[in-house]
Order: sequence, then structure tokens, then C-alpha cells
Amino acid sequence: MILYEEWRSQLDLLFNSNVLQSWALCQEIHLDDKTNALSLRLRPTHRLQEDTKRVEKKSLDHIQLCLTYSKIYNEPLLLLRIWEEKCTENILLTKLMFPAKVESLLGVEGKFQLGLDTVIDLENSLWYSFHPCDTPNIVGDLPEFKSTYLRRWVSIFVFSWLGYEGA
Amino acid sequence: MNDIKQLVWDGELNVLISIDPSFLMKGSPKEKTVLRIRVPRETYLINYMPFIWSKIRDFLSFDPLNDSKKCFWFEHNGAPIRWNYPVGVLFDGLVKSSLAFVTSSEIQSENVITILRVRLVMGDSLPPTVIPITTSKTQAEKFWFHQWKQVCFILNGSSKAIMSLSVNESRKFWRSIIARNLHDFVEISNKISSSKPRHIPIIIQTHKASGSFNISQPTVRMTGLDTTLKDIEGDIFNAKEEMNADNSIIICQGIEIPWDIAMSDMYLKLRSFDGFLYITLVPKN
Repeated sequence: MILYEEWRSQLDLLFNSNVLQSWALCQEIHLDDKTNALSLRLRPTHRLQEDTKRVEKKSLDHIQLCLTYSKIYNEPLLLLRIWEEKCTENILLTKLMFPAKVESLLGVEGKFQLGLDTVIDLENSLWYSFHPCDTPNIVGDLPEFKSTYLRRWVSIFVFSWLGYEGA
Repeated sequence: MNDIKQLVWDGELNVLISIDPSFLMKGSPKEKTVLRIRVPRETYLINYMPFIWSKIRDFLSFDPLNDSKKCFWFEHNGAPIRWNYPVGVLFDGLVKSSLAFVTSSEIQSENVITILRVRLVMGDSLPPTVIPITTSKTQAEKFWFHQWKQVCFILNGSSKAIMSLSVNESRKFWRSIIARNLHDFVEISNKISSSKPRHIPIIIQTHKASGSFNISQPTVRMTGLDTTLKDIEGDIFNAKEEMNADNSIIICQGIEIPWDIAMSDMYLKLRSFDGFLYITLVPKN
């Protein structure tokens, strides 16, 4: 568990550290002061692009992540959207994609549980959320390591399945 | 209390589902485009998808169960409906915002049967606030269980109670919704609930002047057993809105609720089948 104020302060530290900006997959990053959410636009990994073609018969455009906070669980919350590229009448469009087996496609099966939900704090928009109820067990919330809680959370919830390589 | 729970559990709505003609082959009988069913208030609309598909299967112009390019959703009066709220909550939210629940002839006659009118539509992409209806048989169950996980955490401060349910108990819990077995539902939900909750899981829909409504999920801390709705007025109303306890009424489970009702009592009697207490705020006329 991490209190909201502490999470918000660690989110600023994370943003200012440039770890995410230096990530090879990161195309855009934005910290929204109004919603207190950090949003990222990511280039899909080669593996994910290939698996989507093979399994879903679709072409991935980008992955959208939103790092926010769950006031219910008092934990960081990872939201995700998958955007596919679609050609209609010679016009290229992007649209949200809802794979039949999203956890399997992302390679997080058995590791994280994902659910599709509308997020009230983000104008009821539609996102996959990584269920945060096991977060303290996964990240470890001993008081002596509290100051790096969000950095460790990002390392597990984001980099462990997307990989991290500097730009 | 059991009598009230039974009444809430037994509450039903007449639902008229019209099927958009784009689903059906040209020349299909017109009567196939309308289904009239009676639906418990305490269930999800998508629990009726297998029934709907079975009724129109022979006239479909495509295979909805295997066509991943199309998206389906329900609408009321052209506005998308969120299936992830209980049917009764959808009705409470819509009934005041629209007169279209009844036809013009029904408005004029007395003793009309109230009908929730929805339309099943499809498109290449979804409205932004709607969860897609998939062909998975466990979609509703998974969503509902996730809701209960949140409820368990809000009530008890941990998900331990729900995660301690055996596989058989979890199945029995969901089956109680489908088979309308209140006894089983109460038995399992009592294992998750606390007699002295630390917070109340509450979802509020508020009508706006435009005819749409806001959804909010405030954190309502229980400071004592006698905390009333009036006591948490500040949590319920958005400071930016002009609504307050004096100029609005509260609807819960289809009935008007007094502001001085004790929250804990109201929660235990009137909560929905997903563990949340849904209230609808409507401006007084």
C-alpha cells in the first residue's frame, strides 16, 4: 500500500528521472496534472506485433499505457489500451483492439490478471486494468523500501513483460 | 430485513429489445426484430445474449459469434447503455432522463406497463464508454467477480475474504445469480461482507441538465453505525454542481429513499448483486 500523496510525489520523481523517456519503446509521454496520470504511447515490441498478426490477424499500431492510482486499493494502477491499424477505403485508421485472450497475447498469463472496465476518473473511458489487489505481495511494501515503491512497481508491472532497453 | 432483500431480489422489469435490422437478412419477418422479455433488476443485460442470439440465429446476415470485426452494444434513444451496471440501475438512471420509456399513446393512458426499451446495435467501433460484448460465456461472470473483489476490499480493507472462497463456492455464488437463488447468494455474500464495514462501496449516478448523467464513486468512510446519507452529503455531491440534498431526490432500487436513512442499514438491505450500493440523484421538479 502507498498513500496517495506519497505516490504522487514518487510519480514526479519517476517522470523527472527520464527512465521512461529514455525507454526505446516510448514514443510519447505526458504527465497530466489534472488527472494525475502519466500516459505513454509505446511502439509495440516485435514479438507482440508478430503474435498479433498470427493470432488476431491484425496489425498493431501502438500500445497506450496509463500509470495512475487506485483509491480503492491505495495502490498504483496500470491501465492499458491496444490500438490496431486498419485500412478502410485506402484511409489508414487506428481503432481500439479487444483480443479474445489479452493476457496470453501480451505474455502476462499467470502473472497478472487483466480486466476490461470503464474508468470513472478518466471520463469513463475504456481500459484494460491490471488488477492491483496483490500489489503489496508482488512489489513488497516493507517500510525501509517504501521510497522506491513506484520504481519497483514500474519495473515489475511494466518492464517485466515489455522489456527495457534504452533508446 | 430478509423481506426487503427478497423484494429487491425479486424485482423485475419488462424489457423490449429491438434488434437493429443490420443484423438480419433482408426480407426477415418484422416480428423477429423485437423481443419482449421480463428481466430481474438484479442481473446484467448481457446475461440474455445467448437467448437473443438463439431467437434471431436463423435470420442473421452474418455470424456474430465468429465475426471479430463487428462490435455490439445496447442503446436507449440513440445513447449507448453500459451493460456492466445492473439492469435495475440502468432503468433508474434512464427513467427520469427520458419519456421514451412509454409510447405517446401509453403516456395518455392510465395503468400503463412500464417498459425498458433498448436496442441492440452494431458498428465497426465502439462508443468510448461501453465495454464490448464478447462471445465469451464467462465475460459477465469475470466482470462481476472483479466487482466483488473491489467491494470486499472497500468493506474489509483486504481481498482475503473473497479470495478465500473455494472454487465450488465461487461457482455457487455466480450460479445463484443465474438461477435466482437468493438463499445461496446471501450465504456466500455474507462470507465476504462485514457487519461493521470500514467503508461503503457506493456508486452514484447524477442527472445533468443536458439529460446525460455523471458517474462517481466516492470513498464513504463509516464513522459510526448511524451515519446517514445526509451526513455524507459532501461526499455525494460534486462541489461544482448546483445539486444538494434540498433540491434533489435519491432513488435506490427503484424507490425514493429518505436522506436520514442510516447508511449501513441501507447498504445491507438495498445493495446490488455485485456488492455495490447504487444511488441515482434526480433534481426535484
